[in-house]
This record gives sequence, C-alpha cells and structure tokens, in this order.
Amino acid sequence: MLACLLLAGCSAIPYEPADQPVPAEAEPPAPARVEPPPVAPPPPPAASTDASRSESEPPSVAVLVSDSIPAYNGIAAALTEVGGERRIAVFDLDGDPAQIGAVMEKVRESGSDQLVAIGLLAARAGHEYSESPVVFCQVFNHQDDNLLASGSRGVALVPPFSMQLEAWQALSPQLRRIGVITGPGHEELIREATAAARSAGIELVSRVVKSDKETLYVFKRLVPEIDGLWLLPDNRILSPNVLRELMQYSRKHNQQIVAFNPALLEWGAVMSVTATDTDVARQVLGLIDEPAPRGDAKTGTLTPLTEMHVEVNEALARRLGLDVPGQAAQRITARAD
Amino acid sequence: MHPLLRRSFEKLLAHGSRLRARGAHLTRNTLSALSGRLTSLAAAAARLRSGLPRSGRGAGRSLVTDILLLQLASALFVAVAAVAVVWWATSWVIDNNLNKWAGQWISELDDLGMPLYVDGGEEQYLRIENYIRSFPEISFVRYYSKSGDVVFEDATQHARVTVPVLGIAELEQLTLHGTDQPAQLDNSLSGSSVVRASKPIYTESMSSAGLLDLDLSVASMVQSELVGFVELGLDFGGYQTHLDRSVLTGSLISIGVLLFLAMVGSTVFRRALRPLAKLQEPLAKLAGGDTDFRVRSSGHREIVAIADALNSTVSALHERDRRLHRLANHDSLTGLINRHRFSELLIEQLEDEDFEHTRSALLFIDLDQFKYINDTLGHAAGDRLLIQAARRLESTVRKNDLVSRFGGDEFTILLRDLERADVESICEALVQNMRDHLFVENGHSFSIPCSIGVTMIDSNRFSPAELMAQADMACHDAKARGRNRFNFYEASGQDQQQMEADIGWSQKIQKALADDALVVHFQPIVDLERGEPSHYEVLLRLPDETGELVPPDAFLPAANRFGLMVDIDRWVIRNALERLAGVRTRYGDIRFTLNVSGNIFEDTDLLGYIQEHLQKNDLPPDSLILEITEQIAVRNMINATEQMQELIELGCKFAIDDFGAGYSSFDYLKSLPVDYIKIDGAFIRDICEDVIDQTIVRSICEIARASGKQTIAEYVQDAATLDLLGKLGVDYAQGFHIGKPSPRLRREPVSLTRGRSRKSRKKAG
Repeated sequence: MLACLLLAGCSAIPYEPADQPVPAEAEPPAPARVEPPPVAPPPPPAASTDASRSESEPPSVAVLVSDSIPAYNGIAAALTEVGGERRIAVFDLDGDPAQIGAVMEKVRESGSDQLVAIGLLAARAGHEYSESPVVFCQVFNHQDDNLLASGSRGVALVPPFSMQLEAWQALSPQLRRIGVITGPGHEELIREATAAARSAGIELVSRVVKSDKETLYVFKRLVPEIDGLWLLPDNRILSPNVLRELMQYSRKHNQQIVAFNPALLEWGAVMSVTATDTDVARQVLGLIDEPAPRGDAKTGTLTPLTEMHVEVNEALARRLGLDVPGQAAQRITARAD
Repeated sequence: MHPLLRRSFEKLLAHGSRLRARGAHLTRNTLSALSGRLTSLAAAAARLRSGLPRSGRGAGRSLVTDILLLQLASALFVAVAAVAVVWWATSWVIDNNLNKWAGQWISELDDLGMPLYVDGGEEQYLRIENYIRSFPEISFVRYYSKSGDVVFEDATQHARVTVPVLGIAELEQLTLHGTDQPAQLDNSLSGSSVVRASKPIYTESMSSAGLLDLDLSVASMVQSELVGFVELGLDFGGYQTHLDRSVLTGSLISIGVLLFLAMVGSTVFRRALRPLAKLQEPLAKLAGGDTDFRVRSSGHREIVAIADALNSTVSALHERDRRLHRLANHDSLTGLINRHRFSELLIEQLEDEDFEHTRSALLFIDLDQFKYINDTLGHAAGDRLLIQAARRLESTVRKNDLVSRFGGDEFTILLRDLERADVESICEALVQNMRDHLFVENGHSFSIPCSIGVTMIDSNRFSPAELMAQADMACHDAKARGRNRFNFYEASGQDQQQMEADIGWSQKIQKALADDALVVHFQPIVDLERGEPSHYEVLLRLPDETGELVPPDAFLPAANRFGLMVDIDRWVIRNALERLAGVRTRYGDIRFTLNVSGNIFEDTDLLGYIQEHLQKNDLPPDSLILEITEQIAVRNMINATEQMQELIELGCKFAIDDFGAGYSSFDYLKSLPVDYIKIDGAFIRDICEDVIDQTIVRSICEIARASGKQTIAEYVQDAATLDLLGKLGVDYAQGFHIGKPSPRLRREPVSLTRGRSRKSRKKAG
C-alpha cells in the first residue's frame, strides 16, 4: 500500500489509497505519517553478537556521513530520532576522501557495533575500512564499488517504482509509455521497474547510456515514443548542463518528467518523488537489527523504501493537461516557476 | 540666371548708370561704346545659346549636360556608396550569423556524434550524414578520438574533403581553452574558401552528493572527461557568391534606372530651358542696336523673370537711346539741331536733291548784339537771348526747313525747295522779325538784329563745307555792310580766291593729319621762384610743300571754317602726351600746356579720349594743362564749364589764355574753373614803363591768388620785365627772353636778376 506524505513547508499530492480515501479537508498542517505495511516486516531486535557486551547494554551505532548536505544530515538526524536506546555517534567526512583514514580511526575508537554509511563516499570508506557490519544508504550506483558484497547491506535511494508509478498515474491517468535512462549496472532495477510497469498496464522503455550527452541525445530520440521520463539519480550520466537542457527540451515538447529531486520541479519536472528521512532511517535500523548476513544471504539486494514524498509543479501539470488534486494546488502554485 | 548672362546684364546696367550720370554729353561716340557693350552682351547670349541644347554648336558644354552630369555623378556616388555599404553590412551579417550558426552546428554535431564514441553503428552514421546534408554550408565533418584518430568522416556530395586532418598536437591545443569555450574557427586554409571549426568533445558527470543536493541555478562542480574532437568544414563561398551576384544585379539595375532618369531629366531640362535659348534672338537684336521689340515671357518663373528683366532693360535702353540721339543731335540750350546734325542733313539734302527741279538755300545767321548783351548782362541773359532768337527763327521759317544752332551766337538755316525770290522773302522776314523782337532784361529792352549770309544750292558742285564757307563769307559781307541785313553769296574774284585758299589749307591740314605730318614745338614756362622751366607750352606748326613750318594763325581759320578743329585738337593731345611721357621719364615732373579750340568742347567724348591717352602713356592727369581763350570759354560757356568740370574731376588742369585781351571780366575768374591765368602779352610788353599795366597785372595776380589760381605772364622779352613780374607776384613767365619755341625741350635755367631781351613770337612765331 502506498502512502501519501505531506511534509511541512512542502506541498504534495494527497496520495489517496484505493481502499482508504483521505478527506479533502484532512490536509495535515504538520508532517503526518501514514504507516504502510512494510514490504519486509521489521525484524525483532537482534541480540548482540559481541559476547563481551552485557545483555542490558544497548548497541552502539556509528553513523558516517559523506558530506554535510541536507539529504545526508536529515537521515543522520532521523536515525538519532528513531534509534531508540541505541547509542548513535555521527561522524562526518565533509566530502573529503583524504579524511577517510582519520575519521575511520575515530569510528573504531568509538567501539561501535554497527556502521551506518550515508552517501557513496561513506559507503566506500565503510566497505573498505570498517570491521563492523556496514549498512549504507543514499547510494545509487552501489554496484560500481560492489558495495553489496559480503558484510554490507543497503537501503534503496529511491522509493520503489511501483509506488512512484501509482502516484504518477494518479496525476496522469493517460500515461502509457514511460522511458527510463540509466548508466550501466542497473539491470535489476530496470527489471523490477519493468515488471511493476507491466502490472500497471504501462510499457517501460529503458535505455542504457554512458555519458551525459548520450543521455540527452537518447532522451531526445525517446521523446516521440514516450509519455514521460522517469529520471533516476545516476550521477554518471547526468550533468547540470544536460539536466537544464533536458528539462528545457521536455518543456518544449510537453514531456512529463518525474524527477528524483524537488529542485528539478522549477526547471521542468512535473513531479518529484523522494524518500523520507525517517523511512530511510527505519529501514537502516531494521537492517541493523537483523542478524548479519551469513554467506550469500541478502547479498546484492537493497532494502526497499516504504514511504515517499511527492511534489507537483502544478502550473506545468496544468499546461500539460493534467488534473492536479485541489488540496495541494495553492502551495504548488507558489513553488511553480 | 546663367552667370555669363547675369554678368553681361550687370555690365550693361552699370554702363547705363554711367551714361545717365553723364547725361547730356552723350554723343555718337558714347553710343558706339554702348553698342560695344550690347555686342558683348549678344556675344554672351551667343555663348549661352551655344551651351543650350537647341543650338548644338559652338564651344563649351551644354548647361543641361553639366547639370545632368553633376546629378548623375552624385547619384552614382550615392549608389556606389550604398552598394558598398550594403555589401559590407551584408557580408558582416553573413559572417557573423554563419559564425553563430557554426557554433550551433558544431554543438549539435557534438551531441550527435557522442554515440560514435560508445558503440558507433550505421544508424548513427546516417544521422550525421543526414544532418550535414541538411545544411549546404557544411562541407565536411570529422570526428577524432582523444588520441587523434579519425573516428568518422563525411563530406557533402558537392564538396570534397581537401582540408588536411588535424594532428594530435593541434587537437590538444583545442583543450587548452577550457571545456566551455566555443568552437575555434580557422579561415586561413590556403587555396580554399572553407572555414574550419573545431571543438573538443567532453562528457560531464556529477558527484552523487551533488545530485542529491541539486541547485541548477548555481554553478556546480562537475567532472569533465575528454572523449574526442569534432571538426567541421564550413563553406560560405556560396553565400558570398550569391551576395556578389545580388550586388552586381542590383548595381546594374541601379545604373539602368539612373540612365533612364538621366534621359528623362535631359528631356525635362531641355524643355525647361528652351525658353532661355529663345532669348538669344532678342539679345542678338539688342546687340545690333535694335531696342524696338519686346521679349515674350512665358514658361518657368525663372525664365519669365529673365524675360521681364530683359524687357525692362530693352525699354530702358530704348528710352536712353532716344535721349542719347536727341542729346547727340540737338543743342541743349535752344533745342535746335546742332552743327553736326545740320551737316549730316545738309549732306543728305545734297545727295537727294534733284537739281533739275528744286533748289535750296543755306543761311548763316549771326546775332549782331549778342556779345554786347552777354558781356554786359551776363551769361544767363545771353542764354535767354539765344533761346528767344531760336524760337523766333523757327517760327519764321516753314516746318520742313531746318534751323540749327551752329555755335555761340551763330545759327544756320536750310531752306528747302525754294527759288531765289522766295529765299529773299524769307530772309527779309527773318531780318524783320528779329529786328522787331524786343529782348527785355532787367527793365531794359533790346532788339536782336542779325546778319544773314545766303548761298543758293543749285548743284552739287560744292561740298557742305564749301557751302558753309560761302554762307559764312556772305554773312561777313552783310556785317561789313552795316549788319541787320541779309546778303547773298556772290562768287566774286576775291571771295573765290579766299575760298580756294581756305580749301587749299583744309586739304593740306587733312593730308597732314592723315600723314601724321603736323609738328609741335615747345616753349618753356619758368617758375619764377626757382628759375627753372617747370611747364612747356605746346605749339602747333604745319609743314608746307617746301618743308617750311607754317604758324597756326595761317591755317586755323580755314580749319575752323571746314570743321577740322576737333581733329587737330585730338592730334595735338595725342602727340603731346606721347612726348610728355618721354620727357617726364627724363626730366621728372614736367607739365605741358596745350592750346585747344572752342570746338573741342563739342566733342563729348573728349574726357574719354584724354583719359585713354593719359592711361596709355602712364601719365598723371595733372601733367596736362589745357589752354582756352576767354572768348572760347564765354562762347561755349555751358558746355565748356561742364566739360572742364569732368576733366578737372579727372585731375587735368586748365588755363585761360590771353586773359585781358577781350571782354575780360574778373567775374570769369570766379566762374571758370581754371587753375592758371595767362596774362595777355599786351599788359606785359611795356610793363616796365607803364604803371597802369603794372597795376592791372598786380590786380590780376592778387585776385588769382585769392581765388586759388596761379598766373603766367606771356611775352617776357627781357630780364627787367622778368624781375618786375616776380615783384608783382606773377608765378610763372614765358617769352623769348626765357626760351623760344623749339622742336626740342630746352632746360636752361633762367637768372631772375639779369637776362636778355627777346621778342616773343608766341603762336604767331
């Protein structure tokens, strides 16, 4: 079941579950959480594997942040918030690979039982240097560094395509063909997305490219064939110039783009779908609480997210002939370009 | 108005102004000058006409041609400038736009060629080929790998890739300008119109954190990776060729339009200026002296203005011509025809006379009391007497008879188609009427009797001058017989002999004038203060058949009777001034005094003649002193004073000769504008012994000095006289004691305290 989440300061489509409509007047002034049934039930707290630690002592968790950006810091804060009695220590690499050694030394010195790596730089550091089990998040191209190797687990960066597609279809019921462009190594993601699309009666057209310019070129060639583009946060094939041009081209050709970042709404994306920090934190903590994988268990699979945050560029949506739900119209209009 | 025509009009009008100023003194000579002006005007008109299209002949270009050429040149200049500006601006715009397009094309080919570096494929090749074929300006495209190998190359069908492949060093140069630089253009390819545009191909990527913390409005850190190069050949020659062709076509069309407009303009101009060309005919008439016509004024405003101006000029000239003729042929005092006109009409009469059937008579009339009245009652009274006498004579004769004022108090009458008896009746009537007429002046009444000499004209054996001489002699006989009567000329032996002698003198004089054989002598006039000759009197001599020099007293009466005095005066003036020029070059400030007759004041172009010869000899006007007798001045009082005034304004000097010899009056000293008083020799000859002469001379000197005049004493025969004259205040002295007349100038100084006695033979030799 999908959830519709409205965050403070943002406007979002009131996502209306099929079996439990949300009243129109029930616009929450503050973040409200609708707890969907988890894709995977949260495991019971696992017993510490450290024999030296007493039974009553809560586990300690080291949180290694790649850089001080809101997308990372928010999750770190959410981990502290939802971490319960766990002792959580946060370490920041400040985006500087040169600090990895020193910071990892501090992590070791903290005697943490678990390491949570937020962002690719932290994930690489944990994968390389941590002796503790590592759970990473906010990483899209984990396969390039083989981060899901033994001992490491991860949480997905983007909500499941099935959820995104349901929200997209709510905004654009006539949606029939969706394009997606990725760099190499996301065959599993594409496979799952294709299956989800097919079950929703939508054809997913995927292309694999190797550079930003190729992304733009392929997109321009895809435009006549598709109704919208599902834009994934693959930093290898995206650049600011290409994103600007891609957005401009999509506006010019009335193409719907569902982006991974609300910042792209004002540039031409009709809808953005992002994960919520608390959902990511819960999934991370869920993995921490699970027993460490042994052998091939859980290896190569990311833990999916269960919540998402949706924002719509209402003005663009109307120009595209889409029917924007009225509750969010005013706010969206305020954010529109 | 054409400048040539305008200048001529201005000259003509200026000349007209001068004519107006001179008023009554215009004569045939002035008319001749006017005719000359008109001739130059006609010449100007002819030159103008030659410049007009209708004539098509003569020197000089057509006015229309000049105007059209100027307009054509201006239009061509503007057209060429416009074409040049358009060509330059268009070339600049084309270059600028094509450069921009080149940047856009190479950017698009940058994107389009990206798959070549991934997997290539026929499809991609076709896309690139289709792309470059959609732009004829693109002659070829090349893609290079980052190692410098050519990955793909294609050229349009009409272009062949002759541009050499870039080397790796050249390609690496392209990367030195950064990733965001536009394509580098190179138009220095030798032997080719192709411009090469080249650019490195980069791909960019972002960090994963940057993608999650995205803000496209600010510059983000990206990682760039060189994947290859793209090179584009641009051939803008087609545009340039098209532009050149368009400019050429436009220029040809412009030239065609200009030529068409020139032809139209030529027609319009010719039509507009046709009335101007038509002015040539009236101008030619004007030059020919014809002023009895009107110019038709039509056409453009400017032409009408010219025609109106010409009509005004013609009218003014016509009126002036009429006045000039009248002034030239009539006596200004009495209104009668003058001596010159009378002579002309007498000649015509002699030529036309049919002596088989008709006879005429010539009367010479002299007023008996004129000199008395003139001297006692003044010039004004004398003038009124002459006017009344003229009216009386006119009223007595018939309308077809001619009455003229011959000069002074002399009148002539030509009685036409009459027998002797009729002539006698008329003469009796004339004598009677004149005697009966009372001239009232200042409460006194005077009769004005006259003496009439008559000669019958019954053949053309005699010339007009001979007839005049006959009538003159008959008049003298009438006076000799007691005045107040008429007398017919009878060819007596003595008269015949006198007349033959006069005719002989006149022939000798005319021959001498024609042969330039007259001779002048110079007699010094000494300055009594310095004792040196400062002036010379010019004295005329006529060589006879033996070479002997005849003094003027012998031939001047005959010359006067036969009307040769003016010619003699002119000869003397011309020759004296030529000599004076040489003398002044040698001796400095020397002046000549010339004796001129009273007749010269009938020569209304005297001023022009003297002015011409003064300029010709480069002489100051004050170097010429004209001597006139007081009788001459009085007899020609009106004309003389005006003529003298003009010469004085020019700068010439005047002297009264033989002052005191006639009816001299001190009043003349005030009224006549002279600079020198030559005291008659009668007062000088015995001055040393005669106290009265001394008193008279002293008085003359004092009055002359008081009126700003200088005195010259003639007939100085000895040193004592010379000394006495100095004491009496005389300024200059002349006489045999000082120097005899000589063909060469003598410059000996004179002692003012002692000298020799000489007899003066002035004029009389």
